[in-house]
Amino acid sequence: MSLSWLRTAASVRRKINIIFGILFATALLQLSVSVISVFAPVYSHWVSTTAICGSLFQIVTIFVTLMLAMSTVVAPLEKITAATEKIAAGRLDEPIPYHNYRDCSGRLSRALTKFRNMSVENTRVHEEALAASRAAEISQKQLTEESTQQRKWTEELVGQLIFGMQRLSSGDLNFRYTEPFRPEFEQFRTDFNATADRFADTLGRVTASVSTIASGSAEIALASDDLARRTERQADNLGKTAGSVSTVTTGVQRTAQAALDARKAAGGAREQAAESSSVVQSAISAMHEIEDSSKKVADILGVMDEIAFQTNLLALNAGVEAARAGDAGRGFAVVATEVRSLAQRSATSAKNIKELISLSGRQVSKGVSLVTQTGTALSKISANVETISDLIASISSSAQEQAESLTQINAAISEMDQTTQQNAAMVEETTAASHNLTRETKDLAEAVSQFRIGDEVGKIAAATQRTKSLAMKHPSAPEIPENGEIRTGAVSRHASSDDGWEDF
Amino acid sequence: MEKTILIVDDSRTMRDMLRRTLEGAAYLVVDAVDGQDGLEKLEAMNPAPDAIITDINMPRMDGYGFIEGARGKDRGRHIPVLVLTTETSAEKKTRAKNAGATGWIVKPFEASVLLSALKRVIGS
Repeated sequence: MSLSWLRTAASVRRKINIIFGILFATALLQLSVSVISVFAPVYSHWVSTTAICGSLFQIVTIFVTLMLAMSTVVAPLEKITAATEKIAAGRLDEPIPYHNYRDCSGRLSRALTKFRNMSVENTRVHEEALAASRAAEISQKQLTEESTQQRKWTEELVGQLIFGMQRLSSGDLNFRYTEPFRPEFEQFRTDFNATADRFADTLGRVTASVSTIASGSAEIALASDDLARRTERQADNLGKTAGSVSTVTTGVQRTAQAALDARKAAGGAREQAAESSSVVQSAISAMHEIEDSSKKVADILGVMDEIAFQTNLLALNAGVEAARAGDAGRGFAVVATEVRSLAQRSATSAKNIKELISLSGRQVSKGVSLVTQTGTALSKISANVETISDLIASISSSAQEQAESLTQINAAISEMDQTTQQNAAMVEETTAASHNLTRETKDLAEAVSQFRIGDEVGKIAAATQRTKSLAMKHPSAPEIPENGEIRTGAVSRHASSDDGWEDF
Repeated sequence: MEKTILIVDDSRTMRDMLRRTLEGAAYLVVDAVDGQDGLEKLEAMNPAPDAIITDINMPRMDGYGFIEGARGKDRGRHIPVLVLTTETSAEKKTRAKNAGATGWIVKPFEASVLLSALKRVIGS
């Protein structure tokens, strides 16, 4: 209990006094023992005296130390504590001692001085705050009044703004603030009206553009449809033309082949005619030789006829002579008769042969004439065959040229075929693009038609309706796929790097 | 035996040109005017075609729908399908490939390229 009091409640001075009191009591006890020991038989007198002197010195030292502690430790601490209590009590103008000391008292004094200065500053600030607070309170009253008025104006303004924005959000771009606002809000009114004007102007232009685009896209769709039909007709015609040209090509090729064959045949005929002419000449020569031989045979027959005549005469004479001879010449007469008969028969035969030879000669002459005529005819035939051969060569050459021309025509048809195909592909792209454009335009028109800009709503509706009616005029045009696929490919394929076959 | 090709295209011009090109190369040709018609023709053909050439942008049913419909049928599951279109975007090619297309040819086509592609997918 006493220790707790000493630790928590006793002042420093009391604590020092108690500590030094204990030391002093201990020294007195030691002195008492030393004095008593003087009278004890076992201790020497010198030792006892020394002990007493030591104890006295110890007491003096303790006392001096006590005084020193009181003056250097306790007194500064007590004075600083007192100053602190005064400062805590609000007496901030009280001096704080030991300010120039470098020990704990000095440090404590300087800290306390700083604390006091801060308190002084806080007090000043607090007072200024109080003054400001009072001034603010006065201003607050004025502001409250002004604020009430301002809030009233603001509420009115916000109401107007809400109304204007509602009109705008409902798509009415014709709304304008006609009544002037308070001066501080007038700029807002001006800006709002200018913005609405600009919106209306822009949407008006968009509306006009939508109408133009709608009309243009419908016309593109119509043109594309027309182009598709023309391309189909062109493809049809090209197909028929290609078929006809193919037929003509076949005919020309046959003609060329026939001309070639005829030319070969004419060449053969010409050669055969030449050979026949030679044969005719040989036949004429042979005929003349036969004629010569016939003449020689006739001459020989004349000799034979003369011999037969002479033989007949001799036989007649021999018969006469045999008759003269009588029976002896009877056999000779028979022989002579026989010889005469043979001579007559020989003469008759020679005559017949002569007639035959004469007939043969006439026939040979006739034959020679005929063969000569045949040779002449063959010469003419050969000349004609030559002419025919030249004509056939000309026909063959013409057929070849025709074939080459047809090859060029076929190439041109192929090129036209490719062009037609390109046109068809372009038509597909154009048709899809125009339908897509029509759909986008319709969406844009619907979006723009949500705004009211004078009578522009009616114009948009009319444009949209016109687009629909134009679109209905060409029902054969492909519809836009339901999946919303949009063609984006360029019309021109020439620059595409994807030409050709791509294997997945 | 002659091979049969099913053409699906809404353009009569393209159908005629394809027919001329293919018949010139000794193929038999059956054509359809859109994807829906193509599926009906595919169902009705006996035997099934050896290959299909289809456009992409068509009314009623487009090429993607047709390819997916054909791939959904037993007889159309393994038939080569060449896409013949004016489209060139990679996104549409990918879509066609995912739908089951075998190849992609850009219009206007070269006859030699088309025939070479056909030969490649169905053999000579």
